[in-house]
Amino acid sequence: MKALCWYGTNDVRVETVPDPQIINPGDAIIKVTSTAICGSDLHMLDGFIPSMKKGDVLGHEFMGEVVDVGKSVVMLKPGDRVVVPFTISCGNCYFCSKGLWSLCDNSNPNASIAEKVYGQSPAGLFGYSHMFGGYAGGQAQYVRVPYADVGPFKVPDHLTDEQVLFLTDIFPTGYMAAENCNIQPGDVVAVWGCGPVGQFAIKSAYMLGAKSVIAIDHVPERLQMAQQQGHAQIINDWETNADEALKELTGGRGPDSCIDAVGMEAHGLGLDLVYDRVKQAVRAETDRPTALRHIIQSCRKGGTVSIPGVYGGLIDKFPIGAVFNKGLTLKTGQTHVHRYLRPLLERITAGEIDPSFVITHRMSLDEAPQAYRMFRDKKDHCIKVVLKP
Amino acid sequence: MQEQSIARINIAHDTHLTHQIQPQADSQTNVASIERVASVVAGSLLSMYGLRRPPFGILLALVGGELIYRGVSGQCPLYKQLGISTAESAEEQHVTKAITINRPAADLYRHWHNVKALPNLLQHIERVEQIDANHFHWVANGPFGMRLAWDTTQEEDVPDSSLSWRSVTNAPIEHMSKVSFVQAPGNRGTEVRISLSYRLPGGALGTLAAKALATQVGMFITDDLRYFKQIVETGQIPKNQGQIPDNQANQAYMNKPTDEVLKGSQDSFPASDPPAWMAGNQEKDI
Repeated sequence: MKALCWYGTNDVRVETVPDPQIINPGDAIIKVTSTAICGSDLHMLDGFIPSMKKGDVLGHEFMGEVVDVGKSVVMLKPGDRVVVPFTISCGNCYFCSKGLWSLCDNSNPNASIAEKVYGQSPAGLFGYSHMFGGYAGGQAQYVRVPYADVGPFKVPDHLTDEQVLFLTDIFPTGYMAAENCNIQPGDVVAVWGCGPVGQFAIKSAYMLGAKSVIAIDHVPERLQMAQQQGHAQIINDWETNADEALKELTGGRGPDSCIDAVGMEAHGLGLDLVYDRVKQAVRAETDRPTALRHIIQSCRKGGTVSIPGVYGGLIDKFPIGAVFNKGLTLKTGQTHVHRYLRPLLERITAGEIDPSFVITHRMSLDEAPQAYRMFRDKKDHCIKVVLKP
Repeated sequence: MQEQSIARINIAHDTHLTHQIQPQADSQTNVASIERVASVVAGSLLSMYGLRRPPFGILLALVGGELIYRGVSGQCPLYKQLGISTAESAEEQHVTKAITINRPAADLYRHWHNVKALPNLLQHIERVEQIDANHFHWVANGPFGMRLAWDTTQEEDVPDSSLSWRSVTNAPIEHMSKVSFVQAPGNRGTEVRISLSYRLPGGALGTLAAKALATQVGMFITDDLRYFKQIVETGQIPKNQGQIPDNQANQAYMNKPTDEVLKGSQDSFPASDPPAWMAGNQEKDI
C-alpha cells in the first residue's frame, strides 16, 4: 500500500510499504477514506520529536471503512464506517475506566522508553514516534487499529467524511481545551494560536458559555477565520502588543482563561525567541515556549491556563513566579478523545457546528509531501489539509 | 495511613535471606575457589612465557610463580593488606518492583498460584516444571542473552495475599523471591510487588557483580510485571507493526503468540469463573 513515511527533518515521502495485518485478536484493519495533516505532525517534519525512525508512517487523524477484524472484536464488522481516535486506549485499565483515555496504562508497547522520559507512560498514539508506541499512522491506504472494540466510533452515513473526520483529534482537542477552562458566566477566554485547534477552541468556548473570546495570532487568514467563523475579537500580535491589548479589552483584569493552542514551536518575536532558538540549537532546551510565557503574563489573577498545544520535553525561563503569585491553574494533557466522540457527534448531527469550516485544501495522498511543506510554511492561506488516499 | 506504609515496607524486606554465611574452612584463605583455579592457570601460562624469554622474561616467570602460590595456598597478601576477601559470600542484594493492576487481589493470586502457567504471563520466564509437591525448576531468559535455570522450594502461600520461594540448599546462588498482592486505596486495583533477594558467590567481587546485575534484574522484573498486567487487564500484549524493528523488549513480545498466551492463562481459571477478558465486551462508557 501507499503511505506517507518520515525519513528525517524536512524529509517525508510517499512510499510503498507492506499492508498492515491483524496481529492481536482485538485488532481491526481500516481502509482509509480521509486523513488530515495535524499541526503536531509538523513537529516531526521539523525534527522536534525524538525516537523517530526512518520509514515511520505518519498520521493520526484518519477515518474509513472496516475491512477486517480480529476474532475477539464484537463491536465492529467489515463495512462499518468509523472515525478513529488518535489516542490508543485499552478500555480496561484504571485510567480508561476513569475516562482518562489518553493516559491508558496498557497501549504503549514502548512504555519503558516513555517512563524514562516522563516517569510514567501515557497512551500509545498513531504515527507519533516510538516513544509513543511506534504504531504506524493513518496517512496511508490502510491502517491497523488495536483495541478495535474501544476506539473506533461508527458514524452515520448522512454525514460526510469532512463533517466527522475532525472528531479524531482537533475538534475534541479544542473542546477539551475550552472545557479545561471551567468557563463561568461572564468569562472572557483568550485563545493563542488560530490554527485548526485554536479555531475549535474558540467555537467550543462559546458553546460552553463564554461571554466573549479573544483570538491571538499573526497570520491574517487565520485571524480572519477566527473573526468570521468563530465570532472572536482578534489581535495580531506581530502588529500590536498582545499583553497590552488584552488588558485594554478586559478592563485591566486580563482574560479569565487563556488557551495555548500554539505549543512547542511558537514563532514569537523579540529577545526570548533568539534565546530559545540558541538553546534549542545546542539541545539545551527542546521546546520553545514563547506563547506560553505571554499567556501566563496576561492571564488574570486566579485564572486558568489551558494547554492543548503539544510540548515534549524541557523549557527555559518558565515564569513560575507569575503562576504562583497570581494563583493560576494549569490544565494540560493529550485529549481524552474517546470521551468526546458521542457528545460532539450529537452537536454535529444537531447542526450546531460543521467542523469542515477549517478545511482550506483537499489533496491526494501522493501530494502529501508538498502539502506538509505548504502547511508548515503557511503558503497559499493553508489552514487545514485533508488527504484522500 | 502511616501504619499501612510501614506494613508495606515490611513486605519488601521480609525476603531477606537468613544469614547463612558458610564458616570458612581455613581462616587464612582469602581467595575464592574459582579465582584460585584462575590464578594457577594464569600463573602457569605467565611462567612458561617468561622462561622462554630470558633475561627479562625471568621477571614475568617470578610473577607467574607468585600467582601459582596464591592459587594453591588460597592466600593473597595484597587482599590481606587491603582487608578484602573473595572467599566469603558476597553482600546480599535486594530488588523490589511494583505495579498496580486493575483487578482484585484474589484473581491475581490465582494466576500466580498456578506456577506452571506463569510462562504465559511473564515475559522472561520460559518454563516452570514441578519436581515434587514443594519443588519447582525454573528456566528464564536472563540479562545479556543468558539462559538461567534454578530450583526452588515453596516457602509461604497465603491465599489471596502472597507467595514466596527460596533457593534449594547448596544452590550456587542463594536467593529468595516473593510476590505479594495488596489492595490499593480507593478502588485503584491491586498493588503487585515482586521482591527478590540474592547473593552471588565470590565475596567482594561477587558483590560488585551482584550490584551490576541488580539494575538488569530490576528492569526484567518491571517488564514481567507490565506483561502480567497487560494480559490480565486486556487479554493481549500491545504490539506495533508496519515499521522497522523496535527495541528488543518489543521483539520479545512479538515472539510469544497471543493466542497461546491467552489459552495458557485461561487455564488458571475454572470454566464457571472465567477471567475478565473472557466476560465479553461491555458497552463503552462515554
